[in-house]
Amino acid sequence: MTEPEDQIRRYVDAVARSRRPVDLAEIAGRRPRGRRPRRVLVGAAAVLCVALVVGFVIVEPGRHHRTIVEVSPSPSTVSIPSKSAGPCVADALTVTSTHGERLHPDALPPGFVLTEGDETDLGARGQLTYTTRGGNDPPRVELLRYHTYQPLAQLSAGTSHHDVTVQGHAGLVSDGAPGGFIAVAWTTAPGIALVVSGYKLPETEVRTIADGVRYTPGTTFGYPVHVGFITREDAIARVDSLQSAHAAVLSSLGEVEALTGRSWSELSVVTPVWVVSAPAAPSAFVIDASSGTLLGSVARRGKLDALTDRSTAGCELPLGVLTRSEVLALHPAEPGVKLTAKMTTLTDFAATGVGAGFTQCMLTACDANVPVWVLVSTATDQRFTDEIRGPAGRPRNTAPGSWQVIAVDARTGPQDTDLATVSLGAGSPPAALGAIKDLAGP
Amino acid sequence: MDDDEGSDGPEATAFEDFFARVEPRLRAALTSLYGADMGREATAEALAWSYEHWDRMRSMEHPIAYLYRVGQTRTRRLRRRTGITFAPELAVPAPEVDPRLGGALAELPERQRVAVMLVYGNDWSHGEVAALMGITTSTVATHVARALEHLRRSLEVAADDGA
Repeated sequence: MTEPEDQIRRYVDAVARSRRPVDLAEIAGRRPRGRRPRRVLVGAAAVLCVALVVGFVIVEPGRHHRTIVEVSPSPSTVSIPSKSAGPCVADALTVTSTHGERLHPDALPPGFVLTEGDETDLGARGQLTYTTRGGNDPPRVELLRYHTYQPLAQLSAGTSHHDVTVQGHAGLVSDGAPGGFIAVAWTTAPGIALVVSGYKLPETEVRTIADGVRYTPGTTFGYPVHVGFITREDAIARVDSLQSAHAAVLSSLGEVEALTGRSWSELSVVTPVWVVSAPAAPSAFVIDASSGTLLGSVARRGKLDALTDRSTAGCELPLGVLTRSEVLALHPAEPGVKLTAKMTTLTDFAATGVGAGFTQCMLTACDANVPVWVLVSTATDQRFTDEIRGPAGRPRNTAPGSWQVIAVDARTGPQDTDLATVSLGAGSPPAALGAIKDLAGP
Repeated sequence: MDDDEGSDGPEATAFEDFFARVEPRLRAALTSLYGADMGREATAEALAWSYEHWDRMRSMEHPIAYLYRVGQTRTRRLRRRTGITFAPELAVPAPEVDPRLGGALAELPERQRVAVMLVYGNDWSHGEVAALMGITTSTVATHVARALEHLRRSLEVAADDGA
C-alpha cells in the first residue's frame, strides 16, 4: 500500500468528487439569522472611521520620517571579495521551478477529456486527470509529475512490476494495485519522474499513452552571491536622520521580508540591500545595495536582529537564502529542547532516509539543489511523541527521550515551497543526521 | 447584504467573486474538520453568514479563517444533535486507498486531522494552515508529522525513518 500522504490525496479527491459544491442560490435561500439592525452598522462604520483617523495620525510621523531621507546621486560601489569556498554552499544557486512546466498526453484514447488540473500550470500538485464524459465510475487516466529520487516502484501501489522502455528511458509497469490501476512510471530527467496511471484500461493502452506524453520542465531561478554593492558608508550616508552611531547589515530583500513580514512584491527577493539603523531607533531603513535607493523602513522588533551581515559572514550563502541565525529566529527552540541546525540539499537529506520520503516536497516544486535547513530537536522527555497513539493492542514505543526533525526550505520568495518535512520519534534521532555535512559552515 | 440592493449591482458581483474564491477552500477546511456532509453544511452556513454580513466580510483580511470558526459555531447545535465529530467516508470510491484510512483519520485529534488533510489532500501550505488555525507553521508541521505517524501505524505502512 502507498504512503498515507498519497492515500490522503486520493481520499480527499474522491470525497470532493462525491459531493457537489455549495452554490450561490443555496446561500441566498438560507434563512438569515440574527441580522444586525442598520443602526449597528452605522455605529460600526463610525468606529471604523475613528480608527482610520487615529491610524493615520499614528502612521503619519513615520511617513514624514521617510520624506527627509535623501539619496546621493552617484554611489560608489564595491564588490564583496569571494571568501573561501570550504564546505559552503555553491557560489550561486540555481533551482528549477514549476513556472513554465507543461505536461500533455498526445495519445489519449478517444473520448477522454481533461477533467482535473491544468496542463500549463501543474502547480504544486503535478497531477492531471482525464476521463470520458458520463457514466458511473468511468475509465480514467492520471498523469503525475514527481520531483523525486525515490525508486519508481514506490510511486505506485502495484504489487507486481516489470521493466519497460518509455521514450528511451528505463521505466516500470506496476500492476495489481487495489482498484485495478495500472501504472507506467519513468524518470524523464534526474529527479523528475512521470507516471501514467490508467483505471479500467489495459496495459497496452496505458503504455501507448505514456509513449505519447510530452513534458517541458520548468524555468530556472538563480540566487546570486556576488553583485556590485554600494559601500556600508554610502548606505549609512543615505539616511540623513541617523546622525548618531549606526550600523548597516548587508542582506537581501527576501531575508528581510522573511524576518519582518513586510513585502516588496515588485522587487526580486535576491535584491541586495543594506539595512541601516541606529541602536535605539525603533525602525531600520532598507536601501537597495546596488542603486542606493531607499526602499522603505521596517520595525526593528524581534527577529530583524537575526539578519546575517553578508559583508562579513564567514561562509557565503546566496542572497535570498536564509542563514543559520535567520532560520533559528524563525524556528526557535522550545524551552527544554536542544536544537541544532545544518544546511544541506534535498538530495543529501533524502539520502539520510529521514523525512518520510519527502512526500510533501514531491508534491511541490522541489529539485535536487533546493537548500534545506535541517532542524533537529531533541528532548529528554516524550514531548514529540506523546500524542502518537499506537494501534489497539500494541504498546507505544517508550524509549527514553524523543526527537523531531524539521527540514525547511532555506530559500525565500516565490521559489519557497513552504516545505517543512517533519519526522519524529522516541529515543535518539537517527544517526544518519549526524553525518550530514553542513553547507553553511560553522 | 442590503435587501434593497439590486442583485446585479457591483456589490453582488463582489460577493460572487468572494464566494467563488472562498467556497472551495472553506469547504476543504470544514470537510477536513467534520467530514464531507457536515463540512458542506458548515460551509453553507458560514457563507450564508458572510452574505448577511457582507459589509464586514468584504474588508476582512483572512475571511477563510474567520468563516472557518463561523461554520463551527453555526453548526454547533446540529452537531450536538447528530453527535458528529468527524464522519469518515468508509467506502471511498477511489482505488489505491486503504479502506481503513477513513477510520484512521477519524481517530486523529482534530487539529492533526485538519492539518494533514489540508496539506496532503488539498495542497495547502503550512503557512495557510497556520493562518487558518491561528498557530505557527512549526506547530502545523508537528501536527502533520504526528498525524502521519499515527496513520502509518494504523495502516501498517512501513515507516522509512526508523521512528
